[in-house]
Amino acid sequence: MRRLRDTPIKRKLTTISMMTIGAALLLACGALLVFDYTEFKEILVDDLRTTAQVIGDNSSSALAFNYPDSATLTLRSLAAKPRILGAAIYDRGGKVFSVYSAGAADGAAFAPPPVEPDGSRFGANSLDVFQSITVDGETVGAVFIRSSLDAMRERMVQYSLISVIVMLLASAVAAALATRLQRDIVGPISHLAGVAGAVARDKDYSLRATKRGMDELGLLVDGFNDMLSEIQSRDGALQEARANLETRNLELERAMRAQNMFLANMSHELRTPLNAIIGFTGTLLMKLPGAINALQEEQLTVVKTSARHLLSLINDLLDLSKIESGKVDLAAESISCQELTEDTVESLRPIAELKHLALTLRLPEKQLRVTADRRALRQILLNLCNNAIKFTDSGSVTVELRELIQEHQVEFSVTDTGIGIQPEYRGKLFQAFSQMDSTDREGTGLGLHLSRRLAELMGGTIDFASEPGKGSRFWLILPLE
Amino acid sequence: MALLARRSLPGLILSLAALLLLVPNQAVAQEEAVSKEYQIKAAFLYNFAKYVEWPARSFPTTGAPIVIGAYCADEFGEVLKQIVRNRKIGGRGIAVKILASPAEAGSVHMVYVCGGPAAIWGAVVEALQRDAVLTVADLEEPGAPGGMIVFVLDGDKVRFTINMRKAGRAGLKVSDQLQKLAISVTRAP
Repeated sequence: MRRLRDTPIKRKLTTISMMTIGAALLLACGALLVFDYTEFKEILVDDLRTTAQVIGDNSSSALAFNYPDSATLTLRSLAAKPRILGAAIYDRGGKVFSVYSAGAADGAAFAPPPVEPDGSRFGANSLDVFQSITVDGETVGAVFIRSSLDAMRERMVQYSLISVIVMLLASAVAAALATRLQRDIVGPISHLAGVAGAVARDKDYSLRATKRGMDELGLLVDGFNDMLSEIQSRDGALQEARANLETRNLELERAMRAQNMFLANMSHELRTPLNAIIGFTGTLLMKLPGAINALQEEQLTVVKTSARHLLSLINDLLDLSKIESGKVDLAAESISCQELTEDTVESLRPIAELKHLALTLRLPEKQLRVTADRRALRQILLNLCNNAIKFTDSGSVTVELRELIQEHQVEFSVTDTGIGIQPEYRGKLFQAFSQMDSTDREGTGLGLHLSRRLAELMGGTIDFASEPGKGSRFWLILPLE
Repeated sequence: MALLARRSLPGLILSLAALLLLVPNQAVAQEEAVSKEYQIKAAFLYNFAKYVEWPARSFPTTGAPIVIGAYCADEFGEVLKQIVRNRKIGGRGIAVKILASPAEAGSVHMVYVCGGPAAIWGAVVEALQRDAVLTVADLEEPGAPGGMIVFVLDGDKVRFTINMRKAGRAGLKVSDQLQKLAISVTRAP
């Protein structure tokens, strides 16, 4: 019973029907047995009473005439009933008048009990009956008969045997019938389970269960098939959508590659003539081919500056496209922060001096090293310092290197006394092509955007604080080695 | 007798004394024996009435008693009266009629003649005014009319025979229970 829920439905149904039938049969047979036992007892008592009555009637004259021999003859007629073990007749005064003992021949003498009022009593294996003898309403004596219960016991044994046989036969017939009838229930369920299993195993949603009737199982099969149809159609739609997406993806990738290729090619193609322009403009300005007048020199300087600007714009675009397409390869080398900062700042000193700005460098004594790409780090620092110099017309630019001990980080900061940044530009500052106030300042608008992307790629951050009209402070934070 | 033959006085005296002592004893014993026989026979008569069925016409009314006539010594009549007193058979009482002469038999249902020669029988039977009368006799002489039921002494036990032929002719029904107890039953051929 405990494991019934894990057994197959076929077994379950068989078990249920067999147990039901078994219980019903057991109850019915038990009830019949009890009924029969009770009735048989009653019949036995009635039968013995009748016999006692007959014996009594036939012995009344013997009692009246005091002829015990005649009574004994009457009692002897009981020999025809082998069940009767013994009998006795008592006279009016309760004295034993005549005795019969079936076992007398075997020497087992039968001792009649003292007379009792009319009635019957069941002993261990015997039934005793007392019956008074009356003539004309006058009690003239009594009869006692003792009967064996062997017959009843035999009958009960027979009855039990028949019950067992009937139960076995009924169980066999019930099992056969149940097996036949179960096919109608178990068959469709097994079929459904098989189809469900096949669907789950093969992911073949075109399979369908076969319906055999309009009962609940039929409805279940319908529902299952409907669900399969739904899954099949959704699966189809999904497959189609995925195929579309994959195609689109491939197209996009191809387009991207083409775009990058185009960008790289274009940058190269653009840089080649620019280099020629810059180179020859420089040559002309150095007056190597010959003397030029002041106007020519001024105009050539504009050409050279414009060409430089165009070149840096192209370089920035190239870098950006590399980063966007994930093609940038950053090295991981151990770099001395002091060294790199000093180099970068010194390379900018001429520009600062040109604008009469005080360029101050503050370095800590403790050597600070980071693992980063040297070129990228220099590009970030250059960008920050260039910006500071560019947007500061008078005053100073201070570059400071500082260790953030608790965070185990290093901070590169550039502080200027320039024009500052209006709060409304704060959110746009690091976006591409968002140079503020680009009318009179040189710049591509890509610098800070590139710097932030590079810093992020190296695990760092860039941010700033500014007060319009008073100056700004930009800083780069990188993890220390 | 041997004692008297010796003619010795002391012996004679002793014998006389013995006789004196013996005679009353014998008489008492005899009296007792007769009384017991009367008792048994009286009880039997009563029991016969139980197992014999008279035709309805034998009784003037439904509750009329069964009348037993006894042509016997008065003592027997007394014993019989004693026995049937307050007894009832099939709702009927039992009356005892002591017959001084056969002629008195008149209207009885059962008649018993103690001992007596066959001549008395004839007179009694003749005196009976109805047919369905159970006749009970003490002995049956060959060739004599005799009774339907005749007492027989078997040792010290009282038994009886039944002549079903006579009873049947008289229109009486004798129960099997009674026939069973008889030492012999004469049946119709």
